[in-house]
Amino acid sequence: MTAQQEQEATALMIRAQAGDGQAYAALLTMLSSTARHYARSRLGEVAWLDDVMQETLLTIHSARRTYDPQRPFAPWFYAILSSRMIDVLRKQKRVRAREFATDTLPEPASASTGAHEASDALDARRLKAALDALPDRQREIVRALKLEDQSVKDVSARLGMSPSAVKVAAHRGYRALRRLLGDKEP
Amino acid sequence: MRTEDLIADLAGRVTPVRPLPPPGRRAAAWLVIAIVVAAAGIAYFGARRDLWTRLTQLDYLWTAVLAVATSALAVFATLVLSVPGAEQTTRVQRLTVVVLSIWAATMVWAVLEAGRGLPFTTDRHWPVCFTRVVLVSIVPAIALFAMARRAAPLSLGWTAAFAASAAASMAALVVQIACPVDNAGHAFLGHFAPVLVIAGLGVAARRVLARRAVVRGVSRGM
Repeated sequence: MTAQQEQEATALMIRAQAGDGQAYAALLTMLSSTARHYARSRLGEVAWLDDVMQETLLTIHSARRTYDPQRPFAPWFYAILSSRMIDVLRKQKRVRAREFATDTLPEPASASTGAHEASDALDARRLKAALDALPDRQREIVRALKLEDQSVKDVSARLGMSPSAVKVAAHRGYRALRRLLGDKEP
Repeated sequence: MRTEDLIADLAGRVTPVRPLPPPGRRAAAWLVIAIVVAAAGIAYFGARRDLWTRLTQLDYLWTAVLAVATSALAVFATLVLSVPGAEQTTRVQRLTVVVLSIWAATMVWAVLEAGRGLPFTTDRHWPVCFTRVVLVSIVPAIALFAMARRAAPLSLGWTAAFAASAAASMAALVVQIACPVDNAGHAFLGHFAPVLVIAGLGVAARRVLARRAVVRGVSRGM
């Protein structure tokens, strides 16, 4: 953050503290860009940069009363950003330790067979019932990826999720589907 | 949710906020609460009869000074830590840990010097003092947690540990003023050990300090 940006951010934050929504939107837009640049320079081009940015913006929102206009803005902002970066990094490590994320999506049982075999093995009603049993977000992702043939990138953009989060949710959805369909198979 | 939508949502819901007063002023506000609770505690338990005599003796006075210093530093550390990017954070943090360590070393040294170990079973009064420390620290601890939560602590564990230590140290001083027992093992178990236990409980309850931001019906931990 340059000295000029810091001055601008201070002025915007003072107006935001007074309840000016436009100034607040301008401030958050500026800070999200700075946060992305900063996080990318330290973490590289990771899939969860958006998570860092959004967590930072949410913390700024909760913490905005703690900013003292008499003090410099940058230390306040970077303390929040660094803290959220560490939190998201830890969260990602936990997820990686538990989950299996891959660029190649595993094929669900229903998709690995041909259309005729699928219709023989599983009737459409059972598949629909199994899909309906999934949580909303998982169902939407599975449907988009496997029934509507959308790309992970498109789905992640549409749902506002990172691509890796979409893959993880899809993987969980496939597992749940296998379990649900497998239990019912004769 | 896309970042642009999040920004629009936050900006649409922004309300005027009054910047928090500096940590020093907030610490003073907490000290007023703590002094009122301490006075009530001493009035309820009663001060030991030879208090003025004991206050002229170095060992008693030194322990009391350490309790006061720990409490004052810990409350300041709590409130400084709850403001992101405050410059003196590390210095205050270290100083508080150093003073608490000196207090701990003083108590341990007194026990070793007495050479009688810890009177877990032989002293029936230490659980009473332990309980009193816990009881007296409840209100100041809740007040300080609330004050810290109102700000934005980023380091939840340290903030919670300091908040709990501040309240417990003040309570330990109250009990020291009230307790007539002059025994190093008793002072360790009944007056000092609860400070460590309460600090540990504070760390365990650190998530209480995390505020939650609600965005379009979705709550996210801070």
